[in-house]
Amino acid sequence: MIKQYHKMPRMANVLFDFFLPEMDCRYLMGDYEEIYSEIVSENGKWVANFWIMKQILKMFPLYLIDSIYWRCIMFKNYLNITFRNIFKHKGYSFINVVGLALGMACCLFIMLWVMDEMSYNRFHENIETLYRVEQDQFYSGETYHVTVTPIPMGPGIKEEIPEITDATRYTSPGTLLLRYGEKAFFESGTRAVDPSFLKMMTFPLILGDPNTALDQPHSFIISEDIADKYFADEDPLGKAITVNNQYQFTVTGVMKNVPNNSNLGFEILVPFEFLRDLGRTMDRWGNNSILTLVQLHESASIPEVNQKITDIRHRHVAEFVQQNFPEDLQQFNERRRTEFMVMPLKDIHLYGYFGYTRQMNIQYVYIVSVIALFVLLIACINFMNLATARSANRAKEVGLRKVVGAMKRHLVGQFYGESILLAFIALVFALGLCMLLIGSFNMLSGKEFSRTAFFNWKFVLGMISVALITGLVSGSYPALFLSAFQPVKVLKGALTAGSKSALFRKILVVTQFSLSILLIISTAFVYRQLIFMQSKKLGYDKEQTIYIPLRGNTRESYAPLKEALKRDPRVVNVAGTGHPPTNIGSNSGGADWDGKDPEMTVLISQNRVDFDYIETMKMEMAGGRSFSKDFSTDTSTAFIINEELQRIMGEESAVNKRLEFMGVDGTIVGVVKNFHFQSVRYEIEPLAFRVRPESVNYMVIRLPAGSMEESIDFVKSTWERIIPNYPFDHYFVDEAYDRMYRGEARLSNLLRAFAILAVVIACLGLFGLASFTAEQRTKEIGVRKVLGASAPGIVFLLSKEFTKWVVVANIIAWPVAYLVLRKWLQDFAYRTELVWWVFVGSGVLALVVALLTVSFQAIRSAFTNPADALRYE
Amino acid sequence: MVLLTRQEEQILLVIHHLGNTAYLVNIRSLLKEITGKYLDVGTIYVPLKRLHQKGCLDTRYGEPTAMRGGKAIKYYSLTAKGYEALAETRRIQEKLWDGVRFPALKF
Repeated sequence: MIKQYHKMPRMANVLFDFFLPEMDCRYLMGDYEEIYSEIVSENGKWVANFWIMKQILKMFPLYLIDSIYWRCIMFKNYLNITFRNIFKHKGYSFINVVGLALGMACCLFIMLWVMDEMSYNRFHENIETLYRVEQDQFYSGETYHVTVTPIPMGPGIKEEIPEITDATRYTSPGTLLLRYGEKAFFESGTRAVDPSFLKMMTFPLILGDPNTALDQPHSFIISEDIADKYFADEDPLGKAITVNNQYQFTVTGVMKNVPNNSNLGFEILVPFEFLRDLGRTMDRWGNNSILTLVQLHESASIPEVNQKITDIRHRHVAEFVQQNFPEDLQQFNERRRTEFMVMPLKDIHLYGYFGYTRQMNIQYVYIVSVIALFVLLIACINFMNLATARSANRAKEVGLRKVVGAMKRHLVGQFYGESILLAFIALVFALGLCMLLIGSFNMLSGKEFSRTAFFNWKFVLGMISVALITGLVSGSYPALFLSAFQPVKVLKGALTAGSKSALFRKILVVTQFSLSILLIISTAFVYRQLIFMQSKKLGYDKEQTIYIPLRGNTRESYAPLKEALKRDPRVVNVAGTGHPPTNIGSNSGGADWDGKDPEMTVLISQNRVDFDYIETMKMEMAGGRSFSKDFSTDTSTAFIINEELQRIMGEESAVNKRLEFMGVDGTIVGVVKNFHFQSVRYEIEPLAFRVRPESVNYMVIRLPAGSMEESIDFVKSTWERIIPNYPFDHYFVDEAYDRMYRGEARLSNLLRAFAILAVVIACLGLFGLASFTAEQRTKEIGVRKVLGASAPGIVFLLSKEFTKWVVVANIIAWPVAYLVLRKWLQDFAYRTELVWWVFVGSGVLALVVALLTVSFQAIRSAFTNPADALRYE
Repeated sequence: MVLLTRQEEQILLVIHHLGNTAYLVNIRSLLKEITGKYLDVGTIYVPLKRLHQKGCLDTRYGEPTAMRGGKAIKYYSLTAKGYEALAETRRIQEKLWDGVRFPALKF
């Protein structure tokens, strides 16, 4: 028989290498090659190749069983060793698990929060095609972003632009008084919408027909909660409710409560045409006051739609100007056009912004997520540090495993496995912690999460990945470090805690403390900014002042009410205003004055007030006089402006100058000193007051100091006497003011929680390291004591190393904190100074906490009897 | 006492027949000659390994040859324990077969 050698396909070689048992791989491969050659020479290459493939396939099940079998055996051993290690070093395990659990709990909460933020508006079935119409206005080159639109825009653009399949308007008709039998409540959650609203959005009705529910002019859709509130067990459908003591509404539908993660939040829907009854002008293209929501065709081109909306609105306003102010038409046409655009409804929560700045929620999402990751990272570093520090204890095991044939990858797998297991144990604790603290977190975040929120599949998946990532990150360094030991050296006992790993540990500790100090400094400054804003001199007196919204037809009783209150000594002063004192949210362009640069366009805030407003709010005049009944022209043509507008007008004193604004060609009678009429976050903008006692929406009342309660009781009884059919409802100006800073207050509280956690976790780690070092140096300390070292000397010896690290961490953290905080503060028009002593103070705080942690251990070892120390082997 | 499976018994016997040159390939071809069927390599390798573990077989390594892509041969030979096992198996077989009369088969 002539035998000839035939080479097997490469592929087969590779597969054999992989599948065949390591010990016999070479011989078996030889056998296969021999048989292969034989088959080739007898039956040809194809048959042989087929045969070899068949052999490989048949090998697979056996291989699988074999490897699983061995894996199970080894896994059992790994698990055993892991648990032995955990229980043998209870202290270290405790530090690791607690640290990781705290860090993970942080992450879980933030994940919950981020997922909630991301889920806004996603529940609409048509979410991909829903948009909100927004606009950019331009004032002397600056862009002012507005999310409200003209009232006739919705129907107008739906008719003219084929890409828009549907449109609805959405606005609040103000707070309404609802009365059903004996029950009467103010409802501020009312929204007026077009009938198409229910078709476009996903707000399912439980009762009633969504197609016709809003067709009748006085029909009403209420939420389940409202239905419970008014009707309890009755069937709400078809029931009549009186609105503002004037209109009879019929309930035509009951909808499910609007979910928390909806930007459109409401409890009652009324037909949009109802606004006509309330006296709103419905056909002005020049005023922006309501939301317009549109549904676009799937294939619509967004830039084209934007352009079309811009053009349509421009055409309408141009027509209006031509009819009413033909002389202004040229100027109108020359000015830069207001640009309209559509914003996807799914993005408005995170990417929506307003005004001159581009403040978006997504920025908070980023900040908070990064901080949560920092805290987790600090916990991971603890794990790495303790694992490498104690590597000497594991070195023998590694050496022995290598000698009996463990490959590096087995060891890497083992150590990763250990850290992942520990991470999952920590996850269980973290979850328990989250369950316990969910109430506090809700308070901190202002959300309403329930415990079940942790158990939807997305979140469970998220948790598992957090644990996996934590395990992998914290296990990475120990795994690579420990698995690289050379068995000979280790078993000979040559391994001491190497200087290389000591350096790495130092870097890690410095990182931990840098992050902690960064958080402490940030917390301090965010808090200072909050206090700064809350205690800023506003230019008016917000204490001892209440305001009462004049709802429905109560405005008609404003004058007699004011008279009645003013006569009494229990009230210092009374006035009316169009906007609440803390927030004048109405503004308008198109002002004119003598000597105005025709190129310039200014957005001026406006407020209609009553006489005495300046006096009631205790604002100061910079020039001229306040409004006064002694001048008969005041109610028709007088303006009071603020210093900012005077500055823009370029006048030394604007008193007695002409000002054309709010549709009136008038005279400036006084200039009021600048005061903050919005959040201190924003700069003071130009403002003009007019006297219009008949069109105020709020009543402001200054009460005497000391007898607030009594005075409020008096105001209440007076109100009930004059306006018996409307409940009395009042707010404190200073509380309304504080409420504006809820966002900052929340961030401040959140940061404080994070900072405390970070420091606690970092100190846990430091404590672990310190006790490890002390343990290692037991002998040295013993010898030193025998030779006459004092206890304070020993404490100093053990603490100075750690002190050095924290000082280095400070030096790294300061500039970073400075840059980050400067960036954050840039969004505020009026900001607290980045004073140096807060940096130093935070550093010292971290240092003191670290020293306390370390010295606890140091003092213990300093006072041990040297005889015990030296006898320990 | 080692009890052998049918396959182990066959393989041990084939190794005995092949004398001291038995290795996987010629075990396989001899089995084919006798039984008429080629077995998979794995089907022979696994019992070989098991028998080796049980102490019924000795192994030694030959020289690498070109025919095998430069890989050495692993030869198998019977140990005393192997013979014992074979003898025991045979004893049991004979006992089992003893006195077996087939019923008259009708064709």
